[in-house]
Amino acid sequence: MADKSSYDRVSLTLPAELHEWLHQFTLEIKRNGGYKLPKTLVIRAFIRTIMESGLAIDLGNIKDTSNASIADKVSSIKLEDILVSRIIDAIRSHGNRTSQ
Amino acid sequence: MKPERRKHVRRSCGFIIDYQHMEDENGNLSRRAASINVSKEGLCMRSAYEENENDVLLLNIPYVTPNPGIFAAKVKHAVKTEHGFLYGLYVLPLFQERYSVIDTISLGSESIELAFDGKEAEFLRNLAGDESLVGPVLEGVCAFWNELNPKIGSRISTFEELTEFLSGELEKRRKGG
Repeated sequence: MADKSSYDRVSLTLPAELHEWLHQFTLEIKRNGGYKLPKTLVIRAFIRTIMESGLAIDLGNIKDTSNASIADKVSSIKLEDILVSRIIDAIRSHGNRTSQ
Repeated sequence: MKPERRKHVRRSCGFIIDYQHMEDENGNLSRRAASINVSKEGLCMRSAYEENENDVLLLNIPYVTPNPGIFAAKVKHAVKTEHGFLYGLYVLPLFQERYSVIDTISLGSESIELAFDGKEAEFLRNLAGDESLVGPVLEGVCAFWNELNPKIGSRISTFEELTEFLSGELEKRRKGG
């Protein structure tokens, strides 16, 4: 078993709607005969799945080298939304590559 | 009414409740202002409550803690209402022998303490590009899965089973475009 004392710990605040969906997702897992997995484990699975999918997620133009810091940029645009669309883009382009 | 400060500290669910008592001319005690301190992490919130006849404390606590994650992670019994989430805190009533008081706090968001292994943390840091953006990136990842909205159709009891299921859902999306 992995030594969890070496794990990186992060505190994540989610909007109420997103948290509610996550909560319902864990309940759905239980309703289908599984265990009610902790939300922290579910989020780890979200990350792990994307990580192992080999998706090339392009966040280039919000991490470019212009003078504005990333923090300045994301204060005016919502990084969460960008990331969602970039992951979807990555899935599409990956799908296109594999179908060719 | 003669105010008499009697500091009582009770701890339950990681919270410390600090009561201030009022004693009237007949010697009857009543409770009034309370402050709530989130325990060992040193985070602090202050509030006041009104005590009703059912001995239920309704708290309306300004969301002032600098790190709400640690606070909210300790809160139990969240229920969603039209006003947002209500978090039940069990506190020990001063004059009763049982846990019967439920405090409710309305907050607009929920926090979760997460732990990642080395590879996951590195992936997140690379994705975020900046330590301060790990939070938004995590929110984005959750929002992505929310949008994908995978429908559970089989028994999942372990982390590995969940990642396998999610990989399948991702693959379906790839093929579906």
